[in-house]
Amino acid sequence: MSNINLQCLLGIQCNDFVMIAADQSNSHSIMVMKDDEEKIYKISDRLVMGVIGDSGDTTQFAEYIAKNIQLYKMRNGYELGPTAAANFTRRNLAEYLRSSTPYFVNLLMGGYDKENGPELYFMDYLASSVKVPFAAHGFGGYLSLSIMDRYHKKDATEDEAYEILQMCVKEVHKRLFVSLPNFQVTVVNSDGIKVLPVISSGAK
Amino acid sequence: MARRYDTRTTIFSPEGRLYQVEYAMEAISHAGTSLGILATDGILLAAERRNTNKLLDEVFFSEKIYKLNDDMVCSVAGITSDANVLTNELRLIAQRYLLQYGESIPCEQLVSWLCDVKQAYTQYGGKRPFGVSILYMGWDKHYGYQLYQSDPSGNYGGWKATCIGNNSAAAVSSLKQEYKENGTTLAEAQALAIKVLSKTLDMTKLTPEKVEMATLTRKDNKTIIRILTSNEVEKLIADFEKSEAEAEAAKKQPAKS
Amino acid sequence: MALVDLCRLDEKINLKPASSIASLENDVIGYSQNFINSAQLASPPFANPIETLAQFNSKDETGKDIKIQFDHGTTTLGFRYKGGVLLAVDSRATGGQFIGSQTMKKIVEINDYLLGCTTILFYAFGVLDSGYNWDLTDEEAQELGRRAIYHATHRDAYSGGIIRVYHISDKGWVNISNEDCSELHYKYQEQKGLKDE
Repeated sequence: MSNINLQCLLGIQCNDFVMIAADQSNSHSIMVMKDDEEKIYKISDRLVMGVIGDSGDTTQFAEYIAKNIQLYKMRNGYELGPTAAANFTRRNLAEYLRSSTPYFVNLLMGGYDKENGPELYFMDYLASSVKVPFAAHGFGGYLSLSIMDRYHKKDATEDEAYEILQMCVKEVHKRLFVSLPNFQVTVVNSDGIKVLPVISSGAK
Repeated sequence: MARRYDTRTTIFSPEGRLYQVEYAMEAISHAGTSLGILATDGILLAAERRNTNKLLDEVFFSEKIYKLNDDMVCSVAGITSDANVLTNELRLIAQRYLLQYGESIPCEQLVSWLCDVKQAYTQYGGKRPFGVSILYMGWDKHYGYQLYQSDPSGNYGGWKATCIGNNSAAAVSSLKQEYKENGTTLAEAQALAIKVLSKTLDMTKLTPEKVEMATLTRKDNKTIIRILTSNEVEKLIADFEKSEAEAEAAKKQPAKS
Repeated sequence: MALVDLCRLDEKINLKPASSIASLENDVIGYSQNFINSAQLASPPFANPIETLAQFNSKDETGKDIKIQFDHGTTTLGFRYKGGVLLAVDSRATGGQFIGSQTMKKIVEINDYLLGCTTILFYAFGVLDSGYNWDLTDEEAQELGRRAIYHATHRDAYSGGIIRVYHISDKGWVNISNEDCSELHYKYQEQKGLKDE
């Protein structure tokens, strides 16, 4: 049985940046193996991808996408924008889905486009892809969605968005029966990718 | 001597030449002329139409200018049947990219992918190179308006103005003379295209049915590709003839006085 | 046994073997199984439930309205705070009053459960928890309850329904507001500075 829904991904896109948070638990069966796993992958200078799902699949798929997007940059001298990268990722997911070896991963892709600004894409293992202002995966995501509905605004600052994520994580800690003590947070803006402090259950 | 090394494309001659490729280029130098000019506010391709028999049914929109995707157009010189295979391949490459990335293929990538195909036909046994040179005009978000040329060897390059086909060397040198480095407008480029074609083509008077012209511009974040009507071409020719006559008169005037 | 039958003693004394009592236990299990297994529905302990239950919505033998009406709500939430208890419900049924009984007791009876689809709960809890503290003012508490239900209905099906808010304190209960959640949607969107999405 997969634990894809017991993991959690959160994403918020505002006017100037896109912010992604991911839980850091790696669990097998009923046991937690570690709680400082990296689930947010840097794909290029202004593109990150949060991936949850079966633990072999997540790393394999994320690296495959990351390396192909790097290769594109080497071949052409310019980067793939977030839209094209999301499209490329979705297509790969869709093709693997219809093969004998599908990837069981849910993901959020956040990037900053020179022309269009920050963009956030929500993708699931069935290869649906939607461009959204905020999104979440997993049971923790269900708990968080109404908080994002309630507090998200387009012109939020990075600090405000981080606070919304803190509220979401707090709710996960309060109501979700699974142990997801740590959430890593990454923000992408016109300057590039920045890692923000981990949100932990010990914090406020 | 050459005969021993020119039956197969895959074999170099002792002087290091690939004869079949050179012959393919030779075939193109007999084909109808095509030229392209890059302007600041757009870009154009113009081509000589050879099949002007009035009994021909006008099935095709244009004979030598092909739309490849939303943002690119090409014009060919060489063996038409070979060109059809290559334009088909170009369209496939463009659509494959669109399918994979959800946006139009950047111009140089399309040219480069096609040139890989062309190159393969100069290296693998039992094949003959495509007897086609191609001019490509297009727009992409990375480099804006672009003009490329590719030849049967699989070489390609980007140009501000260039020409392929019959008498192309002469056309290129007159383009070199007339092209304004910075700030050629599309209207000026159109006039220049007619001027160069009239010099290059082997005929006393240029007629609209002999010339095909397409422009590519951007408006409201969309690429607009337009093939000029014969009336528009006719007007361009008339304008050219008028300015020629004026220049001629101006030349005679000082002699008289 | 023939004599027992003849004397109709079986109508007066239970002479059935112990095993027949088992059927009573089965009945009990049948009607209460849903307490053990939430996926199982208990069937009403009488025939033709629609017609039988409809009688409760008519008049009694003296011609007075019978004030028992059934809960149409899909989400109900309640919380305690310093000012008392706040209840908020959403209802697709726009006709009729949600709480028919005028007695205090009825309201208290429904205050400590949450109904509805499990997913809806997620959404209501999210807003409720993030805005809750014991020292809320009455207005804040009312708005919090309303918001929580609104966000739950918004995420669940995004369709209409009335959001009713009740406030219960030592002075009794008061119906604070009954608002259409689609109107609330536009109101909240406007507060966010968005025309519509």
